Amino acid sequence: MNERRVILKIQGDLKTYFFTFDGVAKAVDGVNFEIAEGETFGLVGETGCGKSVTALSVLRLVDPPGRIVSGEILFEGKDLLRMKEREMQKVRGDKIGMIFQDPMSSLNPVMTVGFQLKESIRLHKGLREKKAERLAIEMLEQVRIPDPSKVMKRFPHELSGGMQQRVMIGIALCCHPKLIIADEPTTALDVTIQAQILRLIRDLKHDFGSSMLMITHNLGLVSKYCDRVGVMYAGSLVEVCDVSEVFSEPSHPYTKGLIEAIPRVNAERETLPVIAGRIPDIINPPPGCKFHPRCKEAGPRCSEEKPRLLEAKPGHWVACVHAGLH
Amino acid sequence: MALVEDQTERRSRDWRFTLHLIWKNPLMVVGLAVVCLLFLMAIFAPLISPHDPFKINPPQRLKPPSTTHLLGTDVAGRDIFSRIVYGARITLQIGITVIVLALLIGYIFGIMAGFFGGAVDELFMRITDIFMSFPYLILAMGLTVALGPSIQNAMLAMAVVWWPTYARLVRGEVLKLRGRAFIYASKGLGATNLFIILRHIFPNSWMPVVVQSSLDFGRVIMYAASLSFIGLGAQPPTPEWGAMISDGRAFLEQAWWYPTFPGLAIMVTILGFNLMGDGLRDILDPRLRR
Amino acid sequence: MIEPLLSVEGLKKYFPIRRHFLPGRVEFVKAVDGVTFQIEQGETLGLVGESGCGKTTVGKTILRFEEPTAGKVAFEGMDLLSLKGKELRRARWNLQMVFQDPFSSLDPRWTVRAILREPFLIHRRAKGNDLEKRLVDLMEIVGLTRRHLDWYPHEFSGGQRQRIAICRALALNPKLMILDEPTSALDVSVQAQILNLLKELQREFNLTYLFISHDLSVIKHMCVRVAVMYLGEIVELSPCRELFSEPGHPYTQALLSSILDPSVQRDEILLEGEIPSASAPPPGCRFHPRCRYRKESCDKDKPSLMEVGKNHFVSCFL
Repeated sequence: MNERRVILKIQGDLKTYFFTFDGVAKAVDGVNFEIAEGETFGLVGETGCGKSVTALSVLRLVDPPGRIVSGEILFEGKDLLRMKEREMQKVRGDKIGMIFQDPMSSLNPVMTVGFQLKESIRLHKGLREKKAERLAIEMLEQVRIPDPSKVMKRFPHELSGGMQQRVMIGIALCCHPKLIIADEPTTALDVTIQAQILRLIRDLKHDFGSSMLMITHNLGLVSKYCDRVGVMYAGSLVEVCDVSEVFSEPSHPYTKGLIEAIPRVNAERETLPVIAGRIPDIINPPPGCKFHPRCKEAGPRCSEEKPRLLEAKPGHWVACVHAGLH
Repeated sequence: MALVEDQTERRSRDWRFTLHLIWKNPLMVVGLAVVCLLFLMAIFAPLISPHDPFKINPPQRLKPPSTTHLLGTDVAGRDIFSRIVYGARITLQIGITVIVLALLIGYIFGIMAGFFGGAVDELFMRITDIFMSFPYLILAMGLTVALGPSIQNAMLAMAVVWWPTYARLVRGEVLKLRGRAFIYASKGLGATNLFIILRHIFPNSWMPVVVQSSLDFGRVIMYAASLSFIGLGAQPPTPEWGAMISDGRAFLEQAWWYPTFPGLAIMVTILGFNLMGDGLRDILDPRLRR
Repeated sequence: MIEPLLSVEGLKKYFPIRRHFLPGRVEFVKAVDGVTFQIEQGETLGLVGESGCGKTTVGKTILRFEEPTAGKVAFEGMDLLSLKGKELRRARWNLQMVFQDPFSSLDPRWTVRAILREPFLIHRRAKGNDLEKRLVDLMEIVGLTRRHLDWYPHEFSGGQRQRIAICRALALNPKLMILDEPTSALDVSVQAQILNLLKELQREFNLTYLFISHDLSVIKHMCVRVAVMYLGEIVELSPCRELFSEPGHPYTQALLSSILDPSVQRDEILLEGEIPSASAPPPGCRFHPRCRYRKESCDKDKPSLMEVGKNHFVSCFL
């Protein structure tokens, strides 16, 4: 991993806070990780853990009352947070492509598919109509849409969910970005279509030599499609490691609990082991380790100091005092 | 698990948030103030008005504003200020009556159409289409003439013209609610349609209708004044603002105060209701999106 | 022979697609097109499939939220479809549903107390103190407390709302519960809690479940028998374990291969194409356009459920 170039490096404790009437919601509260060239990094967590906000922070698409309060996001060496908005616009869609969750709300319902594809192409590549048209059709072929020239004239609502998602992928990838950010790209789709789409994304990523930040709540998805994984809880990363290790040797109690709570096809259990309690309030999180009120292994230190993400084994980072580090 | 205190905290937070939203919307506060003023004027009219609004006093006719007659007198020597104050009562009466009537009829029709659908809905849609294809004022005028010019008939005519709008609004809300799981849940528990309509549909649908009606208040007042202006609504000597403008029109050059003040009263009132209605809409909507 | 608690035979539900003022044939969305199964007392039958397969419509039709176009539904031997008015409402005591979306299954304007009192209110069994005690008992069964009775739905989390919904469904001591994707909208850790709760309740109250879901892992955990649906029909019906170890229908095989379970190493079977629309299902076997085993005859004749193993039925020509 050290040999490969680092495409994205989030450092300096990325913090994105939302300043609401009820207080400051610390959606992302000190996150650091990196993605190497060609790697797929899965950011995993449950609702409200901050994974989507992290992705939006990378693209600087966080709307008020949210604001990135600290941290550095280095993309190919340059800090995205220091760029002017104009420069950032050149990055979005061209160097970094984003696939959103719900294609129905991410595609403009009053514009044809072709128009939306060409818009992105023209914006970033400055091509003229005919060339843009050709590239757009090629892109639709690459995302395996049958009859691309006909689909170009269709409106999003005339397509099925799977097709819409393919179009979205086409728009996101038409400029062959170096980094693809996929935010729950298949959650809204049926299971068999999901398999098609995930395979497609993986193949395209491979063809273009891109890296990917895959955001999902589904650990199973991560196990099949990601190289490394970061588990988030209440705005912080609690564990970062290779995918193979997260299932064979999960170190953080939350990760362990999460894995055990998933119903498995091969394990027959009468009751599912459950993580007690509920996801904490990100406006008033528990002191020290945010997970400690629910943790079976919690000790006296856990409510006092916030554990930092430290390397327990080469390539395997854990934020827990009981991971045998401190 | 959370404590009881938590719940009272939440309730107080909700109130504080509402106040915060109101505060952020200064225009709405202005609107609210105007509306409150209007209501106070109407309620305390006998206490506020210095003179009897009906008392004719020919020697004092067409006198400009002075200390005895704050806003001057009209062609019969009546104090304009007192008439405006009493006019507030009439204005409010008209507005409330028309809207309440229209809401009642509209609600019943709207719920029927939205909840039961099918042929009932189709029939209803055609009826409202017919009503809505006429310009409101023309239809109201026609009806008032047919019934005979008087304030009561004008109110009736306006209510008849107004209910389709509410019916459509209600129908829209009901359609949105009909597919929600809690409606099915209630049905699954064995509830009758009437129960569901009264206990579930109604409480969840009145809010946008109320907002719309507060916005409509201004328009109703304007139509009422218009009808009175052309002599179809309030009849003399009723101190209705529109009628007062009509009376005063001929004297605009000699006694500018005569039609102007009632006109201003109408304008401020409508503005007040509109601002309040806008603010109400802003407050109620995004708040629901927690 | 013990009578099954619920018996569904040849159930069909067609939705007309209205064409404004055009005379002639009206097209139908054949959401449910001939579904037959039985559920024994105390059993959990899973109904699995993707969107458009009709599984939710089956649930709604059994409870008569939609009126079936054809078919028979019998509960404890009694014909459910012929009941009307008061009888129907009385019969509803025994068949309750828990819905998918915990956010819309509770009336946002009602307190929890009102929501739980509703079943009693509707059937006029609301008797003062007795009732209050019963409500508190119910709340405690699902893991909530008496204090929560005064709260409003939006003050709870998704998992808690689902508990309230389950609580409400239990209020009248039903025999059968239809669970329509009860955990699909919940996080993994919350899902585990709710599934455990459902199992516990089943044991304690001897409940029978019809568990509808698209998630095969959850189905495996909860169900004893499973029916796989595709485009309005049941394509496979089998005891749970066998479905996973020896799936008979090609569609089931594809579904199983798309499960994202880290412990499962399965060859991925990628289906071609999209799920067809239920208003124009493919002729013959409805799955044939996407089936990797399709033969010449698959688009002409329609297969029906045939027994291929003990209690294991598959609808396929292979």
